[in-house]
Amino acid sequence: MFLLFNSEEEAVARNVQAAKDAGFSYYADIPEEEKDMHTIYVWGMTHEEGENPRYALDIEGGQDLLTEEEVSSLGDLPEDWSYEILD
Amino acid sequence: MGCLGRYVIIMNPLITGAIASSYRENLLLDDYSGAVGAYSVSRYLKKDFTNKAVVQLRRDSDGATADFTPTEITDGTATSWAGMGQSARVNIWYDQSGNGNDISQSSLYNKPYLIISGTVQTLDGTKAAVDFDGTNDAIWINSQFPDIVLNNISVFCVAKYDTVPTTPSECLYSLGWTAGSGRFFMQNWSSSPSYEYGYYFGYAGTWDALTGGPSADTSKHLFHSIAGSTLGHFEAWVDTTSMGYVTLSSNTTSGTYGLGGVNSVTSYAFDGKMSEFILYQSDQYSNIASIRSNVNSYYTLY
Repeated sequence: MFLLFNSEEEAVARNVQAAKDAGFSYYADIPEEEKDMHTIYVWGMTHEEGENPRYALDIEGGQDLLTEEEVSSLGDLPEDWSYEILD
Repeated sequence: MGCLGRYVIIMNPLITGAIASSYRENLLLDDYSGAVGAYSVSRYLKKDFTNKAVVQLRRDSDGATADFTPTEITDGTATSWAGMGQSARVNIWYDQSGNGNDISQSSLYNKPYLIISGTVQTLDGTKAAVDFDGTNDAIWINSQFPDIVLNNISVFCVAKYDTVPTTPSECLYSLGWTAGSGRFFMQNWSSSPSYEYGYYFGYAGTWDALTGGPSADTSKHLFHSIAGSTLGHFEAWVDTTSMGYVTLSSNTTSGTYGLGGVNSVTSYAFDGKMSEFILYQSDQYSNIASIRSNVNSYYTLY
């Protein structure tokens, strides 16, 4: 199930907010040098190929971090989603 | 006093440690040095790394993390820590090469599991292995190993596919997916309508694909490939069977790449298990028989 965004910035910001809401230690007050291997995001992100690509968060778990409106909008990637195929 | 001196020397942990170390048997990377990244959840690859953790796990129950040695992964320590019937993901896969190139997936739900429902995942019932779910698990390594040079590289990977055939293909590892010129990956493939299926090593530009080896199966294998001036071309093997070869390319790769996927969590995700991944940014053809022998002695692949 995917949550769609029109830009990378929007998708990343939503992912970061979810990570903060989940209490990930990356966003706690820890030294910068200790942050290398911390979990930064809740979900993986994917995007279309080509110009003006859309972005999507791959919602496998953590649906409790979504709003009701977001949950109701979850679905497969659109049929016109542009993939890079194995050539 | 002299007698006391002897006892002091024998009991000194620094000295006894040095003596013990000198008698320890060489491991793979002690004999075949130069790897820039080396990862295994099943065994130690270098004497200097012995007794250190090979992996950091993140348990599902509360998000806590802890380090584990190969012994602790299989002797019940890790499953006890995860909790009865619980699961734990790979948070950090530590680099045993000595270069500090530890790898990690930054998104929680894309981290592969090592323990699922209280069971350590394995290649064959005994050798621990990281489980990639075939949906969206991957560990990107392009930050640790940027701009792979395609004419001077060797990769050795012990893994198994959980299902065959698969459509779409599943990528075991990618060190480059730069369209047209910078590809370096290994995956399986299926074709229709003949429905043949096998393994597929991609290299350099479009259609530099090696598909000439055995049919794909769900058995454990050593997937390995080398490109360099000693070998004289790019060639890949499944265990001891050559997949064929193509001309060397001097291109470099770019973008996102890693273990268990191509360049995105939704592209050609690997459904299977990986115990070991070793990367040399050099041509190891002169050592290939010995490295194969070392790997096969431990994993009993063929």
